[in-house]
Amino acid sequence: MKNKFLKIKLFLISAALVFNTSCDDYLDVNADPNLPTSVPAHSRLVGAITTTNGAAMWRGSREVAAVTQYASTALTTGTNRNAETWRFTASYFFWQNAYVFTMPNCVDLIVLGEKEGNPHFVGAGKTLLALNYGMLTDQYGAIVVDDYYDGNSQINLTPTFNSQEEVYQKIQQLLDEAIVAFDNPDNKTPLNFSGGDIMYQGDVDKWRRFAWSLKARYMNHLSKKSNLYDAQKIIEATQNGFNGDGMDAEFAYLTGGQQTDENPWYSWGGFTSVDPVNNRYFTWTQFFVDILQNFPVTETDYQDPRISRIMQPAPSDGMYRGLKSGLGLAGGQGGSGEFTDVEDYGQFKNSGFYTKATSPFPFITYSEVKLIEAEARLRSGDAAGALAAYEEGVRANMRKLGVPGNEINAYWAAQLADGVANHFGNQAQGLSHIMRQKYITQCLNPETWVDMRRMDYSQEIYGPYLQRPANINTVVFNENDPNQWIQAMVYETNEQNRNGDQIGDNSEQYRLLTPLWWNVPE
Amino acid sequence: MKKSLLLLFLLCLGLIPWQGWAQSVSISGQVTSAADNTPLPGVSVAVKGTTTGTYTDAEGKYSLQAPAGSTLIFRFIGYVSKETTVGSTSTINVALQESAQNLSEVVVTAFGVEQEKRALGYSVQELQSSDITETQQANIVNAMQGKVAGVQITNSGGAPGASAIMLIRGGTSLSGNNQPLYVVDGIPVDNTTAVGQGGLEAGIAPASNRAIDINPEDIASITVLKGPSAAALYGLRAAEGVVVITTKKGTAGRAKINYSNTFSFDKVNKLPDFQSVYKQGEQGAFDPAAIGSWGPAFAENETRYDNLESIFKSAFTQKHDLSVSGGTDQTTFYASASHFDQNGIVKNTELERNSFRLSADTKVGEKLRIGGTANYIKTGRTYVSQGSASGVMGAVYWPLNDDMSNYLNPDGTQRTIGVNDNPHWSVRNKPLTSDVDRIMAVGTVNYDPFTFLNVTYRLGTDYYTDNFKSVRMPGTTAVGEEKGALSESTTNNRITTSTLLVTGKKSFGNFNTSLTLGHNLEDFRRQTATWYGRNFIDPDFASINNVVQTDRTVSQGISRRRIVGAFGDLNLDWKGIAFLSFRGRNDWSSTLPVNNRSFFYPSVSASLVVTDLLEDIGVTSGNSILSFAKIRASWARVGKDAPPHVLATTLATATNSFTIAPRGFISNANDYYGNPALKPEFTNSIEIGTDVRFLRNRLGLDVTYYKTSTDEQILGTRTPPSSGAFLAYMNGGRIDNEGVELLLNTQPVTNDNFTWQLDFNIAKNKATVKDLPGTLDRVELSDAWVAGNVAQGAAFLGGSLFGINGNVWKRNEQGQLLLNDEGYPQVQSTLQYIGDRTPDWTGGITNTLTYKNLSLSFLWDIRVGGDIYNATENTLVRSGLSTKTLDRGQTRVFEGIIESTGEPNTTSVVLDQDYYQTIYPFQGYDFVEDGGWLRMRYITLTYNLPSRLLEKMPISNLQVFGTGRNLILITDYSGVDPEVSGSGAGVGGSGSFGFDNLGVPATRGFDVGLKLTL
Repeated sequence: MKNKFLKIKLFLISAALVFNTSCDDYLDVNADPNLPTSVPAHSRLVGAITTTNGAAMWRGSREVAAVTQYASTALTTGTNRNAETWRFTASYFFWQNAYVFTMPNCVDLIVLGEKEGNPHFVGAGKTLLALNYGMLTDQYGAIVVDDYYDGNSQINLTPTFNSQEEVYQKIQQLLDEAIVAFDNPDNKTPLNFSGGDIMYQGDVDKWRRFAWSLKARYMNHLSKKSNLYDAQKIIEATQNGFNGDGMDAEFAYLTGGQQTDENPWYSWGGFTSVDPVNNRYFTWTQFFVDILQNFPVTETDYQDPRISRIMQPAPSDGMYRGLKSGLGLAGGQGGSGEFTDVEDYGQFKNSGFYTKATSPFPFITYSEVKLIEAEARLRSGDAAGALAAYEEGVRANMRKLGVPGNEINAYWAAQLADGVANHFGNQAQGLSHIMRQKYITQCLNPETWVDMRRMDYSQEIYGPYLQRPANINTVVFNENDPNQWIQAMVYETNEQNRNGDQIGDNSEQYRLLTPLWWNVPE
Repeated sequence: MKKSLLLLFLLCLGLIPWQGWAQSVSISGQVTSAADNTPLPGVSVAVKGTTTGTYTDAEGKYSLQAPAGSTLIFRFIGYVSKETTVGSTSTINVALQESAQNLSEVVVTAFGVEQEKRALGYSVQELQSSDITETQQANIVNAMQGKVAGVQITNSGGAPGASAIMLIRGGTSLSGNNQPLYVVDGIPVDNTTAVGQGGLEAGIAPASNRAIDINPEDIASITVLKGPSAAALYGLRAAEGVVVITTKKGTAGRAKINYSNTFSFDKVNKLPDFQSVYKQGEQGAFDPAAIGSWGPAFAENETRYDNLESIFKSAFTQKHDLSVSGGTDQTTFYASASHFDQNGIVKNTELERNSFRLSADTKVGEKLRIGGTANYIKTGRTYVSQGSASGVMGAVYWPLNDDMSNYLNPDGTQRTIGVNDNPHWSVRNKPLTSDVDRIMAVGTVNYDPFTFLNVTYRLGTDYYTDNFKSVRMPGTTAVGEEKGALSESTTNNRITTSTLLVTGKKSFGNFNTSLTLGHNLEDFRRQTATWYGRNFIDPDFASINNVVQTDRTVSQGISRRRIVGAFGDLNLDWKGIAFLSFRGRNDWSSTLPVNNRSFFYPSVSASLVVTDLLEDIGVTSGNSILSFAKIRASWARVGKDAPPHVLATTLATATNSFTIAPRGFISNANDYYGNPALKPEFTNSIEIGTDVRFLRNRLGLDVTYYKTSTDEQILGTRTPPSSGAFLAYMNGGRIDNEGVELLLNTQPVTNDNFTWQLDFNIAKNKATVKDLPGTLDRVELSDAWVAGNVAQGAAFLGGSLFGINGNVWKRNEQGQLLLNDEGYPQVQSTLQYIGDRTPDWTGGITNTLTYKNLSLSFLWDIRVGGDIYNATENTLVRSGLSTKTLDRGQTRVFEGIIESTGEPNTTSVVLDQDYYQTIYPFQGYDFVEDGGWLRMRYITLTYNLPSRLLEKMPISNLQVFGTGRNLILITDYSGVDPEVSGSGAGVGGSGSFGFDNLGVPATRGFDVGLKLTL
């Protein structure tokens, strides 16, 4: 009897011992067996670059390209037309594409770079993060910065918003830190260690110039803020920015792989319909055609050689034509009611430099930097310097689009003959030149929307072709006030539903009509 | 509490000496079954009010010492207990009546442990074999429908193998599983319903719930443990209640052979009405290419095809069950084989289940018993896609002037209209199949080293492989799959459980104590490989090998969870009158962070048999009107762990089809943001109840009130995008459930030839979301979207866990419609609460009438209230087939404000095709309907052939029966049978019941069959 008790006791004791020692090992099966949770920074760089382009910037321009009247829809029904008639609601998703699909990759790059002792990845992460914040704030105003995902702490369920002024300081701070990081010689793993630097193949100098170029862009946005605008600092930044061809911040999309390897303006972004009228955009606008066929200020007819590099002529008669925003194909060329056949228009998709399968979708270019410099010099009274920078900005974009030297020279000669040098003696006329060239050089880039708002959508700047779209959203916009233009976007429905206390007035009336901080002169 | 314990103690002191003076007599006798006079072995014979007792042997005989004048109680599972006063005779023979009421005295609670029901401080409900089989349901979950108070079971449609959702007392989880744990013979078995198999959307091909593999004929009894108090011993997976299944075992004696069969015939139960005034076309003009019915009116004698009806047929099902059981005093065995083949009401739909089971028990010496069960099941299912216009209910789009059943062009290609597949083509060319091979095996060792000590060890495993295949043959209209496509997946799912129980029993005078210590280990692993291919090289051969390498994709998912538990269960009882039970358990779960992985939860319950107490202290005698009264109360807490692998955020190399291919690893936006700080969640519950019976148990009433509260939930929820993620796991949110359950059992008539038993059960549960993390006001379920994306399931803060989140018209703060410039309503950009799917109350009424050898039993199943979102009707509006569109062409002035001007609207607008296609169906409010019902779930007539007819045959028992299922359905719901679920039982949290989403409608039918025993 006693013996049996002993046995049982022994059994229980030994069982308890075995249990205690092996329990932790036994339970250690919770590491995700399906996907990694951490990889080195060099394996994260490519994802941060691609998503900044094909998630964030793509979704920040998919609809804005209609607001800026680059492209137009054929159908007069359906949802594709909503963007060009300014029917924006909380169902506009740039927000999540930046905040969820893109920016965590930039933040992780910073955190991993710091952890690994690789400051160059910290720099790349901060540069891309600054660009994303910049694109976001320029469409929404106040955005989440301080309370955003930091790669270390738990996520914040009710992030607070920073004012746009604070965001602009943060952007400059991130870019300054990025430049310091790129200058750091103690970097263990090169940027292109595993082939992830698809923009610069590990050339840190180009990354540094990318950061300086962005600094110039975001400082230049403050042209209405007399106490903050500093032309000399902008010029200094442009001089540290891109200084030649072949360093634009961009990468080529791919063919032969998955569809989503291709450029979105060519395929997966709403351009796969068999019938082209069903594509998101059917053709370019008449506004863009006009910009490419007339010189600024004088409106002298001159066909920009880039038109054939960007657009296709109509199959019916070989002419370049576009639609008026909001009227569809039924509205005819520029809303004239004439040319209502599909064949009367060159299509948007696959039409040239920007909408082919492998087209890059540039973040910022050498040409844009030179035109920023031109604006800063113009505003600081340096007309000659402005003209020189302007000329280089135009020539750089033409070279990039493959315009032969003789055509470029002929174009410039015609510009000179048309009085461009004199025009730069007048700030408004000079700005008209710069902004219309920026419009061409920033094709499809949401940066154009910033310029148009800074210029108050002025016909003095953009010519008489710039008009509000037809069939405008009259729930928000006054049908009879041609000077009332769209100013910002509505915050996304998901943010409104899940973080509503922070958002403030998110009505369409308020959001679409209220100018952003940098657009209020002071 | 302390006071009553003291009272009990004093009472004991006073009573013990009194008993000591009584004279003992020796008594013996035999216990038989009143029905067939066969001896009953294993009957408990106890001297009332004492611990003295014994059990009958294999011949039903017993002997014991009892004081003269004392009362003997004979108790046996499935029989009505009987009490006899010890008189002068030393022989007492007793015949026990089979219990037709579900009030049997012993129930199986934890790990095969039988407990006296009177001792339980919480509500349990038990179903016997016949309760289950007479429903003629293939899915054991459905067999419980309407029978268990507080349990809401919703079958997700009429397709063979459709999943059934079981919710016990509402739900406690906002995003996780709300269905109970299933335990067969002491081991937990898998009842997963796969969501989105083969990469298909949840609503397109809802899978079966895997409890469907269990053969109902093998079941001896089911005990439903409703609250966490009962569940504490099963550990964290039992937080939503437990369905404890005990299978049939052999009994000593001559080998018995049972054979039974059933032949069934089914047809579709209820279909929605279509308008038959307007035919195919656009804007009032006939157009043979149009998919909508927006054309001109039908001419008077024009043919109208009943296209919806054409997709359904009558279905035939057969079932054959054979079992052999027997044994000796030492060894018993039970073996069964079953073949079940159910055809669906849609062509090419089928459920075939073959099951083999062997169970044996043997005694090794006096103290050791060894037993084992092995069950092999092969379940094959063929079904068709649903939930969209290309699915089985695609007829909701088809114009009535066109014969949909003409599905082939002369050249053999598919004949269809518009951009969707012809449903007749789909059921032939887009098969979905699932083949499951499953083994459930349990081995048990039972050792009784001393009379007061029992050691039980049980090791069991439940393993299955599910091979899923979905084919779209070339010629389909599915974009990108025109040249054929297939998705396949193979899932291997295993749960292995080890349980050690050590139970000691000791009596101290009138006090009996029992202490169980246990150790439990559960190992779960599920691995799914999914592959997809498109563009068949040979158009007739559906195989992944028939597509080129670049057209193939493959992925894998593995999920692992291990739980270690240690627990104790202390039961105290005083004279079988007052019971007190303490339980405690500590679990260690692999899914939680190391520092939070260990957690403890206790429970306490008590019950008091008032009638026995009064009798015992001499206040009443046994013959009062009140034959039994018990009160009970319990408090329990149960912990729950996290889903596997959610503590860290994963990286991915893909996003979706409308975002750039990232070319490398990116943060996985499609997955939950990992939370390394998760803590276990806890549910607290209280339950009080009473069980009173009158007139010698002919009238019984059982009432339970309960309240549970689950807070700091482990919640997978949506987060604001500016947090850096869409989805994240966190601790937060609270759900309260409160409810009442009432059972009324009556026997209005009982005499030798005729008995009538009438049982009611009624329950009401309210699941309220009390708190959500952050500023969330709802938890949305993306797996519960319906066709048209106008509504989805969601839990609302301050409201129901089972809400409907839908689009509504845009209104101002005064509630006035904000109209567009033309005068039409507009849809608000954010979704809103538009309905509650929770029934006001549920109930069942079972009648059993027995006359001599004839028995008639029928069940009324009642569900009052509970909204349904009718996505089928919404689709009919878009297609122009809804009767709501009959007012087309009429004009209307919407009462409201023109949003752009702020002026009241005076413009009349036409209710035309554009209105019905682009405006009206984009609000969900008008498609929410009351989904309540009263239905005769089944009616079954059974006839036992008199034994004198069987005398000349080697048959000891022969029974024939006929059953009608769902023959009567009374409902206000306009669509199909309101027993619907959009995406099946696999959707967690708020679930997808109450969404009528173009699924195969429920059926009605009848069965005939026989049961014979050799």
